[in-house]
Amino acid sequence: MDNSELQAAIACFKLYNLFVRTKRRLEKTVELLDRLTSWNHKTLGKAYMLFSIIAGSIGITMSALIRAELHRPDIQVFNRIAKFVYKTGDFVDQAKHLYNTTMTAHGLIMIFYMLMPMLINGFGNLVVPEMLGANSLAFPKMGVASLALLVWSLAHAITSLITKGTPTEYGAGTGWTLYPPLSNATFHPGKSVNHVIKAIYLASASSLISAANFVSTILNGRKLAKTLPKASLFVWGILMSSILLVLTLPVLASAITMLLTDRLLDTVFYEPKAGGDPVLFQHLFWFFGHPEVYILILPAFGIVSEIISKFSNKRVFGKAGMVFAMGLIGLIGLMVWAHHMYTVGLSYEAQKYFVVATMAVAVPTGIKVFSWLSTLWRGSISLKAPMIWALGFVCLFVIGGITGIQLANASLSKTLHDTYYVVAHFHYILSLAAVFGLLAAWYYWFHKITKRSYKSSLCILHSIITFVGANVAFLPQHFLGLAGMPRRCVDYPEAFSGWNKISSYGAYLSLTSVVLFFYIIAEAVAKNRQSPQDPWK
Amino acid sequence: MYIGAPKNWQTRLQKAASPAMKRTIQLTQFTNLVLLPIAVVVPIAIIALCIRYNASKNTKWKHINQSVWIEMLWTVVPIAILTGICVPSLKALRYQINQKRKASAVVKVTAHQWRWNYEYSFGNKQIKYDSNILDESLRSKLNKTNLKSYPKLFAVDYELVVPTKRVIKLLITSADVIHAFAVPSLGIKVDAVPGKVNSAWIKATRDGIYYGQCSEFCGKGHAYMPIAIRAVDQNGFEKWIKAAGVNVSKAFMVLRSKALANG
Repeated sequence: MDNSELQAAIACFKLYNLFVRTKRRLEKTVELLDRLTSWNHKTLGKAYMLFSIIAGSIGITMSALIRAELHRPDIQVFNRIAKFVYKTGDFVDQAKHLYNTTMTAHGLIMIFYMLMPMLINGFGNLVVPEMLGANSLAFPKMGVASLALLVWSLAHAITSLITKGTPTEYGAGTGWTLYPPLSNATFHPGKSVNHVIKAIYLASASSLISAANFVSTILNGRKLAKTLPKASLFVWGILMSSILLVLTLPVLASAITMLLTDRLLDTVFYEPKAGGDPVLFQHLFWFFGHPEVYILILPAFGIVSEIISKFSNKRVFGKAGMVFAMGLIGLIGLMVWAHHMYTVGLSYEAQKYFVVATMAVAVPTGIKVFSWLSTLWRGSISLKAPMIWALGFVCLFVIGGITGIQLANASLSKTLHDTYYVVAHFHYILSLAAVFGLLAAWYYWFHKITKRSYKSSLCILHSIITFVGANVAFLPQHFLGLAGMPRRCVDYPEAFSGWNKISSYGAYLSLTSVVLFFYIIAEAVAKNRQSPQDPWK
Repeated sequence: MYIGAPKNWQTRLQKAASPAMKRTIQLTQFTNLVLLPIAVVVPIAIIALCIRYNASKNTKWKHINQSVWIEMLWTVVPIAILTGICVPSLKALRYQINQKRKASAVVKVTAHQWRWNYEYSFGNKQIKYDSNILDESLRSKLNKTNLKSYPKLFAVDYELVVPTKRVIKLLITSADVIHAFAVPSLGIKVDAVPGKVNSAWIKATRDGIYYGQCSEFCGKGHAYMPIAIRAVDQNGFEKWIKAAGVNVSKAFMVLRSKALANG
């Protein structure tokens, strides 16, 4: 061989070497990523729960600040916070925006980062595979991606709090509903609202991925007609929630995309001076927004069915009816969004339709409540801790549902819309009922989450304090709404001071129940009370 | 002077000062009657069931897990109840929206961040003025020192003036973000949407001042843009229109002194 042939041979050998080394590096990286994302579904569920608890702590701190401010007329709390944050300027004026920002963040955090991760992803990942006889979800790595997106989403939400919303103040003071024109670039020129929109995008992506994951897991296998009817009602609840998520999140994404392009690219979707319509945003937002509340409550329905059935030692009454009812709630829930918009100026015919359709949801909901009562009937009821929470759920949900029926009336809505009556209604459904469902599941599956068992008497104390505190906080808000107090106000006339004071006392009591929640976990872990495999046998 | 405002510790809707609100109150009372018993019966039923079927009572019951006729019963009965609520509800809605009587005056209401603007047009007379929340320093100048008649966060400097016992049409819009014009005692709440003119009608049944607050979140001053409607008799209204065409604040001074004289 002469020189050039030798050089060519050496070059080939080097290239081959490089190829083999790169291939090996790539394989090692893929292996590492595989290991990092191959989480056990139970670990993933627990990670979601930890995330939810952290976010929930932030959310409830904000609610404590809000209730502390509303304890008395005039501005007393947020002006001090404004002084701490801004150091100079008109603290009372800054306090108003700060309050609005806190109120916005409270809503966003509680819905997207506390309730959804815990109820759907947390408990879903923890128990749905077992309930289906599988050992993981259909796409385990998607679950991890979903969590990563959610964490990134919360990061954006927190960034929005420390970015300027208006030229002079931090945070997006728009309400979680983000209505334009208040949320567009004219009235919130700062980057804060952009961060909120990005946060919602990421949370939507996270939810969409995990919804697709759940649907694929549950609707899996050839013998679906045989296995699905046998599945737990919690599985059905997760399935329905996931389907609703897939149907409605894209509409939310479209609404906020147009808002984002209005803000950044001078499009005019919601700009009335150019022929756009702010009410379009409301339609699109609530097309997602209303099913969202059913998305939150359907898993809780499933949990409550599980628990009531277990502790009555009896199968759920009319399971087919229960499944049918959940499906009907989801279906009708997609068709009633404009009951959030009775005062924008819809036509009489439109309002008439939405009144009737919204009332119609009460029928399948009633079926569920009566079925739960019938499950108790002739059962063998043991009032263990999770059962107390589940029964509390039923009572509180009925109260919240009743006020919902009243609000469904467009003619009543002319008096009650955007008052504290609405605030009372959705807090009864979410902050009371959904949270009771959440805590019922938490204490029912505590042994799966922490491998320990908690002290039952402490748990029952927790339920009593939460029940009393939350009722004292939100029952008076019905009276405030009837009297005419509008929502989202940092200050109020003297005539609303009485019930506001009581409501704040209830909020403070609820805070102590949150402390008790953490204490129960700490006590169980510290005492290292190992739990049997199935404590509810 | 009658003041349509909330009272501390009240647990019901404000007293009606318009026929629309009267109907709203009736509808609320009716739905309360139908719905509140459900909220009471369900917890009682749960407690009763938990006592009766407690696990400690070792009786073996025959489990009934489904029953077609009972499921039909608790589907049909709620449908009947809800229809019973829907019928008067939709009637009340139609009454609120379709007002066939000709309005005796039309007022254009424009919402701004964070005040209201009222505009009347009578023939060649144009009256237009802003209605701001009453600045505490202006109370003595405007003779509004009585806190019961002019409560904090409700009182304004210049109210919307309407004649009593007449149908008034309001054309409501916004100049910036979405607000809402609401007066609970008159039973009205209409969003003020920029680029849209929503129409509503009111009819005050007696003289007085009726207070409300902005009812759609609109930013920093959302809690600080109240609505006040001063209803005066037809005579007084016509006199006010004449005077306001010349000087709005002087016209209001006359109204206020007359109100004080009447008590």
